[in-house]
Amino acid sequence: VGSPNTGKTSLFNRLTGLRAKTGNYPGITVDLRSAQIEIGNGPSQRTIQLIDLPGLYSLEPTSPEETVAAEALRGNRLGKVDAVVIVLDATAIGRNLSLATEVLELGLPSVVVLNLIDAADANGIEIDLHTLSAELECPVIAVSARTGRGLDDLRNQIQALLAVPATSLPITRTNCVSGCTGCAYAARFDWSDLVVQRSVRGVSHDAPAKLQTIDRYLTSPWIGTLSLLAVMLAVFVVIFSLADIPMSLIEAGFERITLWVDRILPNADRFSPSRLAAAIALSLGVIVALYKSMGFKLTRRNLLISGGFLVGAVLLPSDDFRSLLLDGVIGGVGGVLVFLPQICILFFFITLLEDSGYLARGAFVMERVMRKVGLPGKAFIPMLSAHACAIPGIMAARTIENWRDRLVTILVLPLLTCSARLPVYAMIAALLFGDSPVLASLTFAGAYLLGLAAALGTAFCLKKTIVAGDPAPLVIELPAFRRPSLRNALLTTYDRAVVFIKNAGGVILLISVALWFMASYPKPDPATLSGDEKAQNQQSLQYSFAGRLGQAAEPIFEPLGFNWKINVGVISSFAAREVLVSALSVIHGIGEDGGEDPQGLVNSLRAQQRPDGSPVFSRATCFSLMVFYVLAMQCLPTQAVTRRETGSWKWAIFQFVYMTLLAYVSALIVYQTLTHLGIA
Amino acid sequence: MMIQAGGKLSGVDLGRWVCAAIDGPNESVIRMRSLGICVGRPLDLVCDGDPMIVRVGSTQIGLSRFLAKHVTVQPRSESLEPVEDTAS
Repeated sequence: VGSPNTGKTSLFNRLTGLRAKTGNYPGITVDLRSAQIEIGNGPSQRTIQLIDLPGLYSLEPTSPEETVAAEALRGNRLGKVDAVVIVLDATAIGRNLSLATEVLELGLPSVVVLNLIDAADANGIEIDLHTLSAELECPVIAVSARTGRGLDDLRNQIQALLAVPATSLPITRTNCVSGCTGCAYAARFDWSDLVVQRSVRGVSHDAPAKLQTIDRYLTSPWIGTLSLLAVMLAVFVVIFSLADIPMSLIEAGFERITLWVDRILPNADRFSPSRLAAAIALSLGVIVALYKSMGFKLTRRNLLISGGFLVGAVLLPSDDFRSLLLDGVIGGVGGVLVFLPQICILFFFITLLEDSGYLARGAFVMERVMRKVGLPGKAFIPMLSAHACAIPGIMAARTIENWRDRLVTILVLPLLTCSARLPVYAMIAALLFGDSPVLASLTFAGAYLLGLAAALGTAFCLKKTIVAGDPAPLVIELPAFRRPSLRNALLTTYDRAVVFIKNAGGVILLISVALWFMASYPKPDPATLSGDEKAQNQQSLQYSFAGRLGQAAEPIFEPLGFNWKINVGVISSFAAREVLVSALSVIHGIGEDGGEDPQGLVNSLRAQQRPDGSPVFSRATCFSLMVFYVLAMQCLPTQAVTRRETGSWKWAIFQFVYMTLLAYVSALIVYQTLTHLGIA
Repeated sequence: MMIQAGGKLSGVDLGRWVCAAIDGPNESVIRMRSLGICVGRPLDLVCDGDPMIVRVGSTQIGLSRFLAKHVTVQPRSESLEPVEDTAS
């Protein structure tokens, strides 16, 4: 346990390495990282569970994370606490001694750890550990999570604490928490000052003059905002340029898997070992995904459903099973996992920026701007992340302490343009202005701005209505600038990536199977099919549930300028936007790989005609489709993460409904206006 | 004159002050206190604006003007200096 910015998580990472697991504890939406580690040698060796509690400034919580940490310390959340490791920043002990005393007053066996001792040494700060230990009446150990110094001492001390049966000692400390007038915090701080006075030498209040000057610029209204924009732009340039290579590797990897599975799957025999193994693996995957992401309970009815799925998977005709596995599962999962490199790079840079102390300045600078729309300055980090993918954005919203502010931020994040929208924008921009790169880029930029404006506008409206209330006023610590640890950033990135795969992976699998089913069944009578394979695929899709839904939805989407083929695209990309491109390819008889030959797709889409001979993809329809895709909530994995972070489906459904309505109405206005202006 | 006599943190000059009283929204008060802005404690106004920067010991805190209106400060007399000097 420790205050934010004390290097608590770095220390945890150092002690546990890759063994740490980010877990959900029952009833909390807060992620807690925990790890089993071995301490001691020989016969005295034992395994302990180390839990990294969220950072907190005091035991009087003001955010969901602090609540969990405070309750966990009191033993109300995660069971009995055997020992507490209190992490302090050695360069600024006075800053967090107040929390340390508060925790020590709980009377649990504790050890105080002075982290960042290397930085304290470098700054000429001398700490008398004995005096400090005597004042605090608990062992004190100096460590550096960055270099690994003192970690063995810490392990031994933890072991020593656990060896003694825990007794609740009455607190004999003479600091006058109750006797002093007024506030307990002031008393604790006064006491901290005394302790620091007795045990620490060489403390200078002031950061080096150079850093102070830099800090003044970074927090000033204009230069601060501009440099923040520059840093963020740089991060995004790096994300989009670096992620290219691993993204193509992942794509190639999934292609290889597809080929390999295609080769080993038998053509006819349903009961061959490889076919059975694949069917069982798929069924297990679906059950685990249901269990993990939907809270599926192992009741008799659900077991029957699972068994039914397995039997269905086994009995499926070979061609269908192949298509389920290759197009449905591998294609669907691969299509989303391809964004993982971008997300990892994003997390990596955000962790570096956060550890360096810069993000707090960013939030400080953005406060002015964000407050105007009713959001706190801290919302800028999630909003930034959401421009790569809404999921890491929603996960990053945890840095916002106030629940209402966090909720509003989460609700508007999916309006920001994520990478999955880019293929759609690219297609529409090419349809509209294929001959003019300038106009095409403007269309692109316009779509980004529309998303941003919609997010800010919606935040403003939500703050006035459903989630009423002003944003919590800013109180933010601006931690000292510090050199970030690469190792810690890598471990954090790994951890976040695992959380992303766990959160999104299961949902993606389920959706992929469901969408495959919608697009494949019912099958038309083979005798009625005509033409080559592409034409047959087109007719099958038209005959399937997805195709029928598209036709049934015609009256709904007609005022937006969509015909039933576009509707099929909209419905198929319901779970993941980028599917629109390949769905439009199939439904227009271009074949599934149409997306890979953009010019071919665009040309044949341009050639499409309505019954009256006018082009389907008129300017009005294109703009309307673009606006729809900027604003619509076409991403089920995001919804699953919203549910998780807000703790209920209620907000996920609300998010879906308001975004869909917003998208529909906006696209309607665009299409009708353009048509009436004669821009068809 | 008003400045010499102290006043709300939102209305005073840059410099050294002592916190005399805090009110305002409960959550924010807890947060301010737990960061060291509490009654009887010294604080420096480092950078004015909205939000402004306040230093408590070695901690820099970004504080919105809205909250600063809820913090009453008094000029810090030199007699309080020893406490301030030892704050890390």
